[in-house]
Amino acid sequence: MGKAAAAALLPWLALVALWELAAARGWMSTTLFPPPSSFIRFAIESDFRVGFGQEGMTIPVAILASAWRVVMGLMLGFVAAVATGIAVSMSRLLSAAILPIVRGLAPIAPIAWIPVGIVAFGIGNPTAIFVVFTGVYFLLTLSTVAAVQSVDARLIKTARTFGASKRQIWAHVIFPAVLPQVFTMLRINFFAAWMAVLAAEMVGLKNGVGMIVILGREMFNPNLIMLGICIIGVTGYAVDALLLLIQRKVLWWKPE
Amino acid sequence: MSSLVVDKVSKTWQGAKGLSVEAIRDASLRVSSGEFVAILGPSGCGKSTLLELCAGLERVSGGFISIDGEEVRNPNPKAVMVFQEHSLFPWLDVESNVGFGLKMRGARDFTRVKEILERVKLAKFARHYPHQLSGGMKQRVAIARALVGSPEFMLMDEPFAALDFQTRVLMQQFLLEVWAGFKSTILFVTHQIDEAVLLADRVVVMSAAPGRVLEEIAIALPRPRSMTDPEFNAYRVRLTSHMEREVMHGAEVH
Repeated sequence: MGKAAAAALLPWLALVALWELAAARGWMSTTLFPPPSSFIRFAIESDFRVGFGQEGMTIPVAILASAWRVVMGLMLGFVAAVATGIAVSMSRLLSAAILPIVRGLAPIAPIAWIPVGIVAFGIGNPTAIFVVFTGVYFLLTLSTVAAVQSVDARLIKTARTFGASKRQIWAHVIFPAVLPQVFTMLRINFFAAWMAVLAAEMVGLKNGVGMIVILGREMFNPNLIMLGICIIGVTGYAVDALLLLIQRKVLWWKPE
Repeated sequence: MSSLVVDKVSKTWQGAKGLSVEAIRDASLRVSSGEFVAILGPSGCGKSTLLELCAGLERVSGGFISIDGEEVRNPNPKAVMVFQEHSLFPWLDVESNVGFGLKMRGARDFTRVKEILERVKLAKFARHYPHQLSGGMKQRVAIARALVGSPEFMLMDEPFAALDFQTRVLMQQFLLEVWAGFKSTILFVTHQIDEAVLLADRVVVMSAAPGRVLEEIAIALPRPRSMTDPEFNAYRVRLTSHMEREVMHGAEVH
């Protein structure tokens, strides 16, 4: 793990070094692209606070707010999608009634749900969570249905020969068998969900890490813009690492 | 004395667009307590289907299958299937895989699992997951899982087909030990002549599709058997000629 972390960090250190060098040598405008030494100093000097009055917030709180929104939305979306996907797979009637609708809604980008969320839930956490939820729910429902269909028939036959009832097969074979596959889809769709949260913060919620960038723009402060962009990247990376950890430690099994 | 009776059984699969495939025609056989019976036939002769019918996983299209006089219509604890590799639940450890049948029947007491794991020398691996085991070990777990419910019949569908030669030889030995030690009754499907002659008291030869029972050959060799024994070879030759004919016949039909 130490080696892998070092290997992942090295290119970043090289990039930062190049950036600093370019800024010091005057190869690019430090006014437009302030290097990390500049915007990190800026963050420390402003005591990790950005904005004024109502729009003021501390950077850690902003990070937690954004991360909380995306994690809650993903969690609710995952649970609801697995439940719907399995329910739909169990009943032909449900599948005929619900799947066409899910198929129609799945291609809609999470960002498109932002105005709907703001109208429905006003400005606040529920909107951000709603945006993430809708962004992953329909896709994951479809992937649950696909995963149910691809469960190894031998596992089901094995369960039957040991006297498992239909209900037990769903609970003890199909449910655990589909979880890793659906979770992988969740991880793939996390980035779109993360972007949607940031967009929602920029256009409506007026807080969270997305807002740091907007504040930078409003205040003509390139340090704040670059700081915001870097925080978005690092936080997104951290949440993705958390998802990867769950994938490896909790939902690690693959079809044999 | 319990017995498994297959009486003039046929099975036709109804496919899409009214297409139907006749898998088994008029097959009859009988397995009694303590026997080791091998079903030998070319690929696609319906021998696996026959086993699934015996396990109650599928319904017969015609004829009758019974265990101790009772018709087999659904899966039942008296006859349990053991499949080829990859039938272990990858998210359960060895102990939970072996205890699966008990759990499905609502058992609270899992001491039987520990006992079986001890007897098949898997106790050390109770907490291992399938992906941490070799192919042979996985099959031992699958057999242990079948033994837990003390079934009267173990129906084995080419359980060692995916194993390499060395592992297969060890597993065949292991199965014979299990058979003797647990006094099980085994119905064993294979397409390998040597395996059938090595293991079985009786070899049931099936034809190419639709599967029919062509002949039953009792293997009157003392155990332990050796593949290099001339008498072993006599059986091998006799069964090989059967199989060749069936393979060629099957190729003509297709």
